[in-house]
Amino acid sequence: MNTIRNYLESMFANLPNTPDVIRAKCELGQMMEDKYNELISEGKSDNEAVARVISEFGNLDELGDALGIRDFLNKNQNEQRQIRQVSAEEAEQYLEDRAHFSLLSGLGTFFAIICPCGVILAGTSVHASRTLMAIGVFFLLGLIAACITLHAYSSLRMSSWNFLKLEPCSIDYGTAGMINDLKRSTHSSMVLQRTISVLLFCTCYIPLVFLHLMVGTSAADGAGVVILLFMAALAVLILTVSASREKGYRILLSLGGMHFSRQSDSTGEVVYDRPAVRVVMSVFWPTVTCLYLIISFLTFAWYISWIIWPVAAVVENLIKAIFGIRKEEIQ
Amino acid sequence: MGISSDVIRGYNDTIILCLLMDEPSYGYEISRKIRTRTADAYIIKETTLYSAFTRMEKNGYVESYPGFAENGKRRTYYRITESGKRYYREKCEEWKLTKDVIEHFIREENS
Repeated sequence: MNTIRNYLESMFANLPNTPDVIRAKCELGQMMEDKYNELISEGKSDNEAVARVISEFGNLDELGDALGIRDFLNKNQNEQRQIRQVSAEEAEQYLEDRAHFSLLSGLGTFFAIICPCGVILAGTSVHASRTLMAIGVFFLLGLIAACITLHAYSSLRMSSWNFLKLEPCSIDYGTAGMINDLKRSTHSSMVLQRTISVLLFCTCYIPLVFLHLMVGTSAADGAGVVILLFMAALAVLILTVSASREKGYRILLSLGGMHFSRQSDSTGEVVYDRPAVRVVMSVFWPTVTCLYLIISFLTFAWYISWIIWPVAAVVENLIKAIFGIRKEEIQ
Repeated sequence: MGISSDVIRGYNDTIILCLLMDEPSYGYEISRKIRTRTADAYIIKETTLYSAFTRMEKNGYVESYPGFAENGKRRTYYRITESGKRYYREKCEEWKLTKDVIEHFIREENS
């Protein structure tokens, strides 16, 4: 019921406080309350009842003549036309596209992480030969090409949604409610995904250590590294997909006005006004990944090279603090 | 296929007046009666209903008076006036005519 009251308040927030307007608000509030109570007594859930009442409320435009505020509404409408309305179908399509293309780019990252596998296997194999190494290198180059293609393709396809970030957009109340429900219902599966990927990260060294201690041949070490890379890659893939889904909800909900964005942490979003910094930051983590892999493979100092990750995180936060601007400060 | 609000707009007043002919009523009750009588085919929006009330009150077709709901809450009730009843009959005649005219152009696609 509070949701309905807030909705009504927000609809009337910008209208002048004439007696006619106040009376209309009371009457409409009464009708909505009656309808809500009846829906509840029919056994509908709170969410369902609220959604029904709000979707059947109608358009404030119709009250223009009844309240003598036609001029006011017209003026307001001209201002509002600048704001792009995102419909429920568009929102759903956006979430679907996001899921689809984050999976594709996640696969790209997956390939990037496992690309040295061929070379490792060829290098450590007992039958090591030039042919085998050449196949390994081909494998590596092919996977890198696939990675770049997947990333480029999915970011190109997602760029049609850039208007969500660049233009002032808004979603209506019902859509925001729907997304909020969706977000809540997928919450547990996201926690599960995150747990699985953290577990994979934590355990990916175990096969390598195990193989090294139990078998000890270079071929076994190679196989251990390959398993490690596969597990890490899988963890990154799961994490990418689930983080992207969550970010999709957050982006959409942040358009929904005050009622829903409050609980989302949109404050974390940072943008950069210098183009050079923006370019560097957009490839920050892939670069760090590459550095980590290159350094580790060149030096084989796996026991210490992980230090790159915390250092990178510190560097990222430093750059954010120095060059970054919080999104709200711009708006 | 849903009902077109453009077509029905001219007859919202008629629908409401018809229900008020039976007995005085209040906002939600009217909206519910419209829904049940049309078997959910037409669900009137709250804003549509309210603007119809104010318009008809201005024209003198209905009168509003404060009443109390079962739970003791204040509620605005509406009742139809004599001029409202006259207007209702006019609209009924008008609809019959409109319907006859339109009927001539409605073709059943059987063949």
